[in-house]
Amino acid sequence: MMMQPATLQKRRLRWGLFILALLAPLQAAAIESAVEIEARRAYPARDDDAASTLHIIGTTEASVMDGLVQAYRARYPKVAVIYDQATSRAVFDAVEGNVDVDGSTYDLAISSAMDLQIKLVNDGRAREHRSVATARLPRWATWRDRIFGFTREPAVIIYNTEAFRDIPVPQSRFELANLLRRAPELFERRIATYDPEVSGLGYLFATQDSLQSDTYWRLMEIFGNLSARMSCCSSEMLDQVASGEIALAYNVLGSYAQVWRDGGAPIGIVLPRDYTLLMLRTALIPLASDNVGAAGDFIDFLVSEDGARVIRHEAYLSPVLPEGDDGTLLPVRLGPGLLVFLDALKRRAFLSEWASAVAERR
Amino acid sequence: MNATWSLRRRLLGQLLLVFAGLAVLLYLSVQAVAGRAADSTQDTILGASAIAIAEQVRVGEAGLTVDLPYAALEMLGLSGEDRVFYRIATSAGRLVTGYEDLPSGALPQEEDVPRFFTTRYRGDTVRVATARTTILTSDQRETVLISVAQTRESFGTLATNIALSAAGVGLGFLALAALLTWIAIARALKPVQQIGRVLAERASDDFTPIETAAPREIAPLIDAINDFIDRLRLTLDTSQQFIAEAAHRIRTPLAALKAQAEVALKAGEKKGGDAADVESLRRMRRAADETSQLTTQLLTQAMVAYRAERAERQRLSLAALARTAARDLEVAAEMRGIDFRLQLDESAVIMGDEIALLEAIRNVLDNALKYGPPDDFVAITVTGGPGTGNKAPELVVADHGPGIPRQERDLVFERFRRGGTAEKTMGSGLGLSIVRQVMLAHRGRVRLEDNDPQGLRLRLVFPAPRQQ
Repeated sequence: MMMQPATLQKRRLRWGLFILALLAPLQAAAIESAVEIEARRAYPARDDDAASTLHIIGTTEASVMDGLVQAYRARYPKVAVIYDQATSRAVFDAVEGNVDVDGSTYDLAISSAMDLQIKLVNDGRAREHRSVATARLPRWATWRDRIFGFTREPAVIIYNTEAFRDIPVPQSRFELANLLRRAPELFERRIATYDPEVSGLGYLFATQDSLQSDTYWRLMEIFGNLSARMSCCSSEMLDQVASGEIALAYNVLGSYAQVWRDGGAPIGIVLPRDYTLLMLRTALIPLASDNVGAAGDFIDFLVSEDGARVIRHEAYLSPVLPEGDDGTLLPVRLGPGLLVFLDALKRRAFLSEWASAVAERR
Repeated sequence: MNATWSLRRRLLGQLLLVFAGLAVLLYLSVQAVAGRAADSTQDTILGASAIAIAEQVRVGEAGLTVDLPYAALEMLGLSGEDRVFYRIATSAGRLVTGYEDLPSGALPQEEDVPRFFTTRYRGDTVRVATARTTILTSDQRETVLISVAQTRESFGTLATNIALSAAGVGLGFLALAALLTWIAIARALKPVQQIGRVLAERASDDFTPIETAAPREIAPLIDAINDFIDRLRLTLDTSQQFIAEAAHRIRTPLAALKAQAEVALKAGEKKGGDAADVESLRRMRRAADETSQLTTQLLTQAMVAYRAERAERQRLSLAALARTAARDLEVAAEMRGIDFRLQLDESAVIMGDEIALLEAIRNVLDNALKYGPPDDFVAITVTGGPGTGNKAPELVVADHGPGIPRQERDLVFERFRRGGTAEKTMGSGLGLSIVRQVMLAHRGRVRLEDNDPQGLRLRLVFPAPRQQ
């Protein structure tokens, strides 16, 4: 169960103080342990005389961020960069709790969890940033001049090309539901989707899907009946589809699927024709940032044309600009609506509804 | 008179002050109205949101629960990018979900009518709507408060923008009002300026009332001026009469004085008395002569002034007047060996008073005799009959004396003022002033010109008589 963040934070703080009192000599370690970092990359300034250090915490894999950080360093050689990779929850906690890293606070928070990022902005945990570069962003890609989308990544259906050699590939949720119902023997235990209880992104996709149409709930019932696998992450589903272990996965991050397919994996990608959800990867400047200037420069770079080029060709993600829209792409709106599914009671209610939908009925 | 302040500027200043006050008032009132409108718009959305949430409050297995409707918060994001907070708690203060520290305010009186208030929360001013719903739990009725709050940036900006445009319109009106006021004041003050001009152009002895078309508001001023002119004329009349009376009374003793001087002089000459004494007596006689002439002219002037103002106007032949005046002075002319050469247009007709005009013409001829050289001629010309086109009737008297320098020509018309060339000649300095007074009374003009090759040419220009 998810606690109300404020309460959670208070509790965390109380515990933190308790530990501090007990283990005064280990103070630094106690604070750092407040955020679980999965990976860290430190980039020294290109000039010897580093003017400042930019501390970034983000959910994007450090290897994917590498190209962007390198390009940024080329432009700002006096700035050293530290990139910490963490879960979306850890990113939220770090910003919410003004967590220190090496005696300094984080200056930039990058996350694919739009709802958590919106909550940080709504609760006043992010700094305002206005520039010529951010003014170019479409309205759906920014909110309150404090959160900025810099990639838009579709939720797609991926399939194993071998498995679909003799079957027409479904182009919409309706066709997918029909196919699964007509040939259950082909897909029994061979389909997958995000487990919204485990994955923040999976939860975002699931809740947004539920807002769009009731087809989603029918689809989830069929998934339940076919004993679908519930996955933690896009890369796991891509590996399983590529290996042929499963035939099809629903709501996979399109940018990752592209990388897999470009790498030679035998997978096909479908952007559902009825509508395709677009997740925005967003950046914000935490209130506690002590290097606001460098953070603002990084955001301006991310949403610039040069940044878009690097995002496309080196990070293999889709930049927010230029906007190409065929009408079926549906960006998840940055706004207070995202707070609804963060509500603890709402989340519990949604997950319980979801669980009963995917419960096997045979 | 010292003009220390400007009526126009004062009026304009006061009007602009009033308009500026009105513009500020407009801004404030529109801001208040726009603010209230923005409030009520925001209240409508917040209230709808709170009620939508209230409808979703249920009793679940673990006590009170609420299925937050997506639209309840999403619709708050449609109007702008304001921060949103909510709190669902029992009236006893037990939190169901939401922001625990968000104030709910007072308990709404009715279930369907949310209560609204404004407060500070998390560093911002927020508008809060609190709705109330009653839930039946297993053992009791529980009142649940649903508060939805939103910061006011977009609505505040909206209200301010509306008020600013109103202020802009107000300032526009202010500028327009300033311009119109300026023009209006200029127009309103025109009659006053006109009266000033009429008075400035008026001759010093013109005592006719001002007849300028004036608005009702200015009429009292004109009446007052006319009244003053009338009183001034009365005063002048009185002193004129006094002078005439005095002159008349001086005449008799003066004649006696002259006779006595004459007798003494003759006796002295006969006895062959002291040359100095004889000379002294001669000067005495001459002084008596001059004084006598002065009193005559003073009387004439008084008479002329009186007649010029009051006497009936008749149709007169200018040529006849010239001829009569010349005949009157024939003796004096012969004494100096001067001829009058008359060239008269008999058809020239004027309207006027014969006695005053004759006196004026006589004065002109007298001047020409006095200042012109002896054994010469004085030309008298009358022109301007109705047959000669539009030309006004004119009488020109030309002599060959020293003339009057240009710079003195305005001065010689004043009483007791004599030109620089007149020092050796006997005279009172009243002659030309009488001429001018008569001409003014007849709406005519006197012009002094150089005669060719030398001398003075005096031109009397009369208005053409109206055709009858």
